[in-house]
Amino acid sequence: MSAQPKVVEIGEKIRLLRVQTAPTKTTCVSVDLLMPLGVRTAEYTVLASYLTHCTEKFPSLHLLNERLELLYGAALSCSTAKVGEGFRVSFQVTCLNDRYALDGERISEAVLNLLLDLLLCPYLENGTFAKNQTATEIRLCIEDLESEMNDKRAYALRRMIETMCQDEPYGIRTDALLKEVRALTPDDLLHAWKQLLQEAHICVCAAGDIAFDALEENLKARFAEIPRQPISIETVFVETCEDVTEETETMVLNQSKLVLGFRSGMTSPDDNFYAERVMVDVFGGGPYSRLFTQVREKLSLCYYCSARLNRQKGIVVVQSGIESENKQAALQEILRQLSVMQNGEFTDDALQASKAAIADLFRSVDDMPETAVTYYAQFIDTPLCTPAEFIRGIESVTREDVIAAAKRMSLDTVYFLCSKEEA
Amino acid sequence: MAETTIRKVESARLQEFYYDIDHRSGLKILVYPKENYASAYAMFGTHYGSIDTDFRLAGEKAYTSVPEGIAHFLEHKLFESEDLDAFERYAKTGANANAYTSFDKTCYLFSCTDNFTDSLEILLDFVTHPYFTEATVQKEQGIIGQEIQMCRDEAGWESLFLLLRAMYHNCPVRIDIAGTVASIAEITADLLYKCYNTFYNLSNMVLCVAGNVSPEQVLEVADRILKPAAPVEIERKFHEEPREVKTAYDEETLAVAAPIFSLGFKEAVETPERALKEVIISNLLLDAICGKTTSFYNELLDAGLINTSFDWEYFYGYGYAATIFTGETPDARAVEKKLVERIRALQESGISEQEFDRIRKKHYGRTVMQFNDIDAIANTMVSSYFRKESVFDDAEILQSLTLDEVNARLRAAIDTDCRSLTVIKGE
Repeated sequence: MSAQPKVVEIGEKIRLLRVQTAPTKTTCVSVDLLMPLGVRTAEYTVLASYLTHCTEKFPSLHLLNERLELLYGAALSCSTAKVGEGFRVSFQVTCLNDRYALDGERISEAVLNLLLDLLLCPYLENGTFAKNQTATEIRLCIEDLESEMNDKRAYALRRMIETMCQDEPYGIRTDALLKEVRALTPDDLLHAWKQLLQEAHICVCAAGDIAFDALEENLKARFAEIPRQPISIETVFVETCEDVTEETETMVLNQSKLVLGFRSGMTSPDDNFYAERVMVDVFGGGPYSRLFTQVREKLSLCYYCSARLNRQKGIVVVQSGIESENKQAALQEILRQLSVMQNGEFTDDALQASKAAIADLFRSVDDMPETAVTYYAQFIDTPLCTPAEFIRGIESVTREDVIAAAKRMSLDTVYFLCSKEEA
Repeated sequence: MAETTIRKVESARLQEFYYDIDHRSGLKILVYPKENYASAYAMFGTHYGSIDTDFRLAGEKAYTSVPEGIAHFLEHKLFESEDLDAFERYAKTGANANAYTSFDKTCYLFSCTDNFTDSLEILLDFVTHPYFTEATVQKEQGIIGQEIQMCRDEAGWESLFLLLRAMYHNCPVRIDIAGTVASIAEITADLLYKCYNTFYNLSNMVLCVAGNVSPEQVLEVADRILKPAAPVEIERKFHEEPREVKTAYDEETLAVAAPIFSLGFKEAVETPERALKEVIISNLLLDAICGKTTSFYNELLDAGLINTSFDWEYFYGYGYAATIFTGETPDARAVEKKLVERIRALQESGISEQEFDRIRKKHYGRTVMQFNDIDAIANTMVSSYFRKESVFDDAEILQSLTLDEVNARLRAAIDTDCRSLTVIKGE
């Protein structure tokens, strides 16, 4: 593994992570901005798209992409995601390492400047966001949000979360978001952009063969002008649930989706985290897990049945695709497997398998700039935890820890998406 | 018994190398060590996929016809043995294991940062030791039945197969990789053995390993596990395919937010396989036709005819090749018309030198960048080997291409009259 990344505070809640990897074919840089979920979330959803489609210097998708192609096909992407009750906007670019340029161009420097331009020098018309471009971006965002229903698994997961967390910011509904997106104006985007630069927690993560000192100076200079008033972000952790909420919806479908939402019992992202992580993996992580070996392999009820921990919100989600008539059988078996976990009736081999599989995933984080950036960029405003430290945490988990973690789980919501005829 | 031979293959341009090994067992092994990597990625593949529905061995008179989806079914079943299944064995090494079946190959893979030789032993062992019984076959029908149902709800997947069924009359690329619930019900243990004994002969397979690994580590395990086998000669039935498409238009209904179109231009294939150079040129052409730097793409976007889901692919394999466009649209006919006009206009004018240089630069960058990623390297090595090429060929061909070759293929390979349009409509 490479040396621990260097954390540099560029400004108030603006962080640079310098990740030195072995020489590779690529350089990768990301800029992540974190705001409270629900504060101008519609604006930031559209803004993320707008900012990656044009800049002051390259005022159209066409011109911006021409520039990227000339930079040897530098790959630019942007995404938004909920991080607990924060909303993260991420820009990322991966480009060819300068040493492979055919004409000795300094690709990485140009790409870094372009990435900063996206965020800091948007394309404006008459002092505000361009009207036509805004309209296009609104349309693209609406279609993107609406098309989530094409992916039934993602749709069912989202609907379960909306049901389970309806009284928490995390349960923000896509239909409410859509309504807000439709009503946005260029000035709304302008205000949101200014607010984002002022209030977000910002993290630039750079990995590869990079002139880090120059990058650091460049960042300091470019962020120096921005007045900063970073806003704090807090997430509601609901420890337990007393009553189970059941929700069934219908759609034209061949396969029904069963999604269960559990409260993990965690009270913060660090509360008993390693034990929770290992427990959820033994329960429904890889092909060695209880859910895979029992619900899929033994009972042949499904093709997939898995459990995932959402650390930032303290919830555990179980997802499966089944025949409608097998709903009760699958539900019963999933809950039975949870009681197996709670009663400690899993083998030591299963525990070891989970710990080995998780550790294995994290040991390769530093192999590529892309994977290093994906890993380290999660530490926007929290202390850095290296993969080695993470693995030590996983390895320290005992059978008793796992049992205790399983006992803290409580079922909150059962969501079922099935075909119209079967409802 | 033949001896194992090792040859080092280098690319000065990419500053990369790998070892090409003819193992004494008859298996081709490619080992691509990457310095400073913690992980290793291994892939054991057979040149056998969903399109291999009719085949015979040299000397056999009749072709054997097998149920649709059997290659994929076999992939699932190979993980089982009389004793521990492969996943249970991998659980002890910590490797992350999986497998997939495509139109023309089946691959078993794992990645790991520790216990590499133990995991490689598991991989080579379970893939070379089949164990099928009627009871285990039956059990799998439920699981794969659910996989098939799941795919039928995936609009992108359904859209692709609706298009393939519209374009092709006979070519087995038109059948779903996993088959149907009805076709997999016909699968028996005997049929699985028949397919296994034909296609899982080491002479029809390749082992590719990339990352934190040395040829000595790989050979130590291969020498121990792999038993020499007489090579087989497989003859795949070449399905006569009419030049014209089966149907110019088809549609289906699914729960989707907006209609999804797929437009395919069926290419005339005189020989079953496309040369790498043709594939590379076709991929460049697609960027020139409708890439994000074209005014064409931006016009369609501004007109609201496409959105960010718009995508394209040069789709090819044994006995088929097509240029495919897909995406959400409110008006599939309008997109079809625009694309046909665009291609015809470009065939007339040709691509400019400036565009060609820029697009080539992008493809060169992307090709080199791929050599960071050991998953991509191992996957590409498998495909390249089955096509009798080296992973380093792409970068060389890209640099040697001329604009004349690109414009010539633009005119020859895409026949705008030979096309199918399909639409997945919402409820």
